[in-house]
Amino acid sequence: MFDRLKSMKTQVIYLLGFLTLAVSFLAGWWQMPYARREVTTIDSTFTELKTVRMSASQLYERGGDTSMIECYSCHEQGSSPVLEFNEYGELIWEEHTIDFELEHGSSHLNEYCYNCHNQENLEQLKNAEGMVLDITQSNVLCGGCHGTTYRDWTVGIHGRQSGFWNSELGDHKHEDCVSCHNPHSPAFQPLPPWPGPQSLRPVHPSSLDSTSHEE
Amino acid sequence: MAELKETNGQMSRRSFLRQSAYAATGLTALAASLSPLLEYDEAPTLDDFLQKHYKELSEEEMNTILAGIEDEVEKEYGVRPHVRDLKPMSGVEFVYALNLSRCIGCRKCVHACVAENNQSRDPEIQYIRVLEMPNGTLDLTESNHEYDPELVPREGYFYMPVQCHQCRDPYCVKACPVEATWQEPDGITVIDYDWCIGCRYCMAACPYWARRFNFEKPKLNAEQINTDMSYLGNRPRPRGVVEKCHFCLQRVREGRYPACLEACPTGSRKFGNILDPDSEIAYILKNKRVFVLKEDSGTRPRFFYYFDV
Repeated sequence: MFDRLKSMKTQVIYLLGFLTLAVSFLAGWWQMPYARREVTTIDSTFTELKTVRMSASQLYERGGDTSMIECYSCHEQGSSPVLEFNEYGELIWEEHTIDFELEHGSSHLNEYCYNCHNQENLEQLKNAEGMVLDITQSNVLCGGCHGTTYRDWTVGIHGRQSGFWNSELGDHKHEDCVSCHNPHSPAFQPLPPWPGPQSLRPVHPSSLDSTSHEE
Repeated sequence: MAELKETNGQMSRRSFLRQSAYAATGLTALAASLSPLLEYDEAPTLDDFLQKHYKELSEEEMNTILAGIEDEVEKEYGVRPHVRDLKPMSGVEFVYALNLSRCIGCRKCVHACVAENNQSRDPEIQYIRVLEMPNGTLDLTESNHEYDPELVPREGYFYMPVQCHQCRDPYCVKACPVEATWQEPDGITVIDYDWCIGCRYCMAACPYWARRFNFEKPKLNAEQINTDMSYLGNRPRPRGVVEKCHFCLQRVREGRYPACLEACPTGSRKFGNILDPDSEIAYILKNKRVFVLKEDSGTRPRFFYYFDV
């Protein structure tokens, strides 16, 4: 076998071959780029702990703008809005100060304001048993129909939590129902998802767009 | 080799050229193989080199090391962190539960974790992997972790985030040849990043793909460094070590919730001390139909999933 290596030509060919190989490793000709993301700052929405809404009790606590829940600033005392229904039994409502959609439950059977609001006193709530509740006690009202969820919430296993798991070291905080759920349209809307895992599969350089960082 | 003619004991021109050509090729190849050293800027100091395993460190040694880490981070990123060595609390065993009926696959937990734990942004490391599964199956071969629709949750799918389960019978701990990873009394499997040799046996052993490797020096964003660090937790890692979810031990060992739990907008994640019978996690394990992934593997994870509705 080594007879073949005796000729000068073969040796030169091998020599040039290995030399090229050595240069290629040094210069990095074999490296395939993959689509890399820039080192960006993380959007603060990922680390934001505020809820999307504030419940009435939170509003009062924080001294926020309570004009939206002071119903008698617009409505007359002693009179309550008369509800009108169309031929299909659907509620017709005019635009209200609070811009809202009414979709509490997919069956449309809940489109009756006085299921939850107290007709005699608009600033209060009334549950199905006729018990009058303050607007800051809305959780009890929700629990009247959503009992299993309310039970889970009182134990602490429903809904968002923050703070301390160890109550001796700090406060465990869980939110009111309406801090996450809009009472008039409680279903959560779909969100756009945030970026997933960056694939480490090599890509052809031509498919990299201009924003990615090439090696 | 051919017979080389030598005249008067001296080398011929031909043989000189040939031998020098071989020598040049050999030297080039050697230079090529050593070229990664051109980028090597992390030569260890003698103290780094002689640093003992975490379990053998005395308090003064640990304080020196922590100060050293603070200095390094300050030099590199311009902010001085506060690095602590938090010990496990007694009478505590951490368990995590995740309500699959609530998870919408938004991946907020993934990125809150990246921010909290100073993970490399480029190449990007994410401890939590959210799997999109079609309704009606728990067969993980049907999962998709690269989902990127316009809006989530997608109709007909549910979402299952997976991270380190801090198993009660961890395979990774058994596989580590140098005992760089072990399980602490509060249930968290930790890694001593200064002891890890980067062999990645633990990554092969883990049935849940929970561990990540730093193939390159992690690139962090100096503006978003979380300066509240711990030695075993979220201090910046060097190149060539394995890292994974540690239940945010810099938070939970002070009684707080992990970052992923606080970020979750639907409240799918639940966490607590299972040794406390009044904790919410104890309530979940007693009252909800919980299950674990890959139960047949025998790892006995501390991460439970359940459907609520």
